Amino acid sequence: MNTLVLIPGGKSLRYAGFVNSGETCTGVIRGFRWQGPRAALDEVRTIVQAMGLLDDVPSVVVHGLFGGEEFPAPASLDDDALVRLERVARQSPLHVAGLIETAHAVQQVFAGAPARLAFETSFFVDLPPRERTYAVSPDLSHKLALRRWGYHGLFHQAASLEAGRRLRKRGLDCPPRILSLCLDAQPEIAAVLGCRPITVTSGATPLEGLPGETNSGEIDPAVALALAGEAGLGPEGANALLVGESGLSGLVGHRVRLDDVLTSARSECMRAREVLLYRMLLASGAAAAALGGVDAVVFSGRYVSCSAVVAHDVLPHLERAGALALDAAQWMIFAKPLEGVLAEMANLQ
Amino acid sequence: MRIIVFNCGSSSLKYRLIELPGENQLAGGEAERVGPKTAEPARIHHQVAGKKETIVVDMPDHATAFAQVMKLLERDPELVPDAIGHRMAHGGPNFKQHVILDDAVMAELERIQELAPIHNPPAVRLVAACRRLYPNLPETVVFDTVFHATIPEVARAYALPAALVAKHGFRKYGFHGTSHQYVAQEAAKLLGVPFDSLNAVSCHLGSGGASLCAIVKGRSIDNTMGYSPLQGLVMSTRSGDIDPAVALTLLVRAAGNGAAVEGMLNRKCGVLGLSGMSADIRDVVARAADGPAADIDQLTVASQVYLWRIRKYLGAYLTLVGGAHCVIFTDTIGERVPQVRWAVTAGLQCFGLDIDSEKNDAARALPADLSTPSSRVRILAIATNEEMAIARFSYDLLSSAQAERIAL
Repeated sequence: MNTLVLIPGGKSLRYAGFVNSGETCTGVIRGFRWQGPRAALDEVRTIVQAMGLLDDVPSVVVHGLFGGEEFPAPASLDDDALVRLERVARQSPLHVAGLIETAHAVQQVFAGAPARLAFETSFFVDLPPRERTYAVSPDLSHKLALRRWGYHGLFHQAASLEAGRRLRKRGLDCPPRILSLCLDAQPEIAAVLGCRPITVTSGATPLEGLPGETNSGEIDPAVALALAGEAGLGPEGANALLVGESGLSGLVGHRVRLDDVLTSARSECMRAREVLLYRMLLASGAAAAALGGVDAVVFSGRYVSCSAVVAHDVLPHLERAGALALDAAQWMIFAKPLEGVLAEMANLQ
Repeated sequence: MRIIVFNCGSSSLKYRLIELPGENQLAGGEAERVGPKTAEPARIHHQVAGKKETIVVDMPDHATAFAQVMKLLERDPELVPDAIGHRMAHGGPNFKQHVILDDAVMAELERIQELAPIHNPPAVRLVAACRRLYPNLPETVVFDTVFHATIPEVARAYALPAALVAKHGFRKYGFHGTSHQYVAQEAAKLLGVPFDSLNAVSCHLGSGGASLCAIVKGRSIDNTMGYSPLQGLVMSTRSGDIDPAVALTLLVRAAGNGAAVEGMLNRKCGVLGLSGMSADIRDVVARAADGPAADIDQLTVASQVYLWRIRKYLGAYLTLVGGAHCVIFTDTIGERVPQVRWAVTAGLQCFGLDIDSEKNDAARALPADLSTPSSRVRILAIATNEEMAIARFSYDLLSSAQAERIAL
């Protein structure tokens, strides 16, 4: 079956067409928010039609970052899903409002095509309470729908499934203990036991956890409050700074990509690389303790090509501490891009 | 040399008179309810050679409490101190060593006191009162942050724009350093390892604050607390790590009142916030085991969240240290609650930890080795003694200064 994958972002819309599971076209529509999702999708329709993707009725998969507890699994894009999305929008208004607009446009532009929504957070819906709960009163957690999530669930799930398959082929007959490292603009590390995540570095929002291209990652909450107060930024200004001007770019002094930082020989990137690798080391150790040892290490994400840099830095530490049940050199790569993961998901339904 | 060590709380003043270098404790006690009048009267519990007495006396401030303590000691000429050692929670960016008090030190203490608004200001006021009332008595200041001055830049940096960091000084400081260093030194003695070769993870689990410290070659290389004591583990009333976006959301809900949010995250969260019934993890663990059925879910989650955070940081630091000689448990919870030690180390054989449940349950007299003979990493419970550590630092500082004067 032909498949069309749509990944709406803040400013652009990524799309990819698959005919019989083979990728036939891929691209980005810029100015997505500015021109509106309807116009952008019309443009996508024209492109994929020319590629023959619409000769048969394709299935459409729409990517969502946050689905909350309403979406523990991919769901058909129908009226019920839209009602549930409206409820989720109260928790993550920015991300979900855009997705709702896109979902409506998909229903119009690709009317009659079976469409599905797939969320990054679904994999983490059943994160154990000890991991997902913040140390605040249950009342406050309830009022703010406050809990921890992961924001690269699709990569972690697909990569750990693949790692589990390979381990079973090698004879492992118990649930594998997998350290999953997603190298993306906002990198994320998860511990996966069997098929279930038991820890993840991100939090209530993607801001918490590892430093990303522009987000600070973990900081003392007192620093966040001081930025808003003493530094005079106010809550919105502090949030904008922590999300958009910090992280690796903040450390380097100008906008950088994660792969630049991991592989560049430029001295300006060295400190940012050291900070990132240090945080990854700590997060990997924490994940190993959560799992009680690691059977497999798997890398995924947009910058998976940089896996060796991380593996060579982090894994020898885990090996020295005794936490790796494998040779530090035996890490795995899950190289499929997000578009491919989503297309496979559509074909599995 | 008789050194009186003061450990100043917001409404209390603990003291201990110690004779150095023999390390004999001559007297000790605690002034309670220092400050504005409360439902019960202010009093001093004073102890000399096993004899205890309680003196009820008005103590509107720490200066008065200090004067009353000195009055008690001066009843016996053998108990008159030769020097004063102060505990200071935060040393800011410039105090990388413990110091003998002088005008420059006093000025810097006053300048940085708002870095630890709960802990430093009363301690600074006490230092000033001591100078005023006993100007001829040498004073030393021992900082909780000094042991962490060796944390490398990569570990103390937050991923924030450099200009902002330069302007506001945002960085990890780390706390409980005096305790971490003391128990690590004791562990080195116990294991027969030179302190400057010791690799360890120290778990200071207090009934209030708590932190873990990664130690390599006797030097702190990381601590779970950060710019302030709020970051890191779940504590009695502190949230520990929380998404910065959540802190900012709370700020919006509090109409921009940062002090209210900081107060809430410091005093109403942690074990107290999660359990809704007690700030003490011992109560929560006990009630989760045999309390009313209606409370069990909430209390179980509270204890699990508390324990899970320690376990994760323990794994992180064991990985960082790589080849630790030991894991050390100390302070009220670390020394006295075997369930906590068990829950955070059991199943970590992959890290070389093999705790012996019988030894763990039976450990009363400390120090104790709680690990099985085959455990690659020793698991130790060691009683902390911050006052003794402060007395030792003070003695070393004052003796060196005296030797320098003689040499001149």
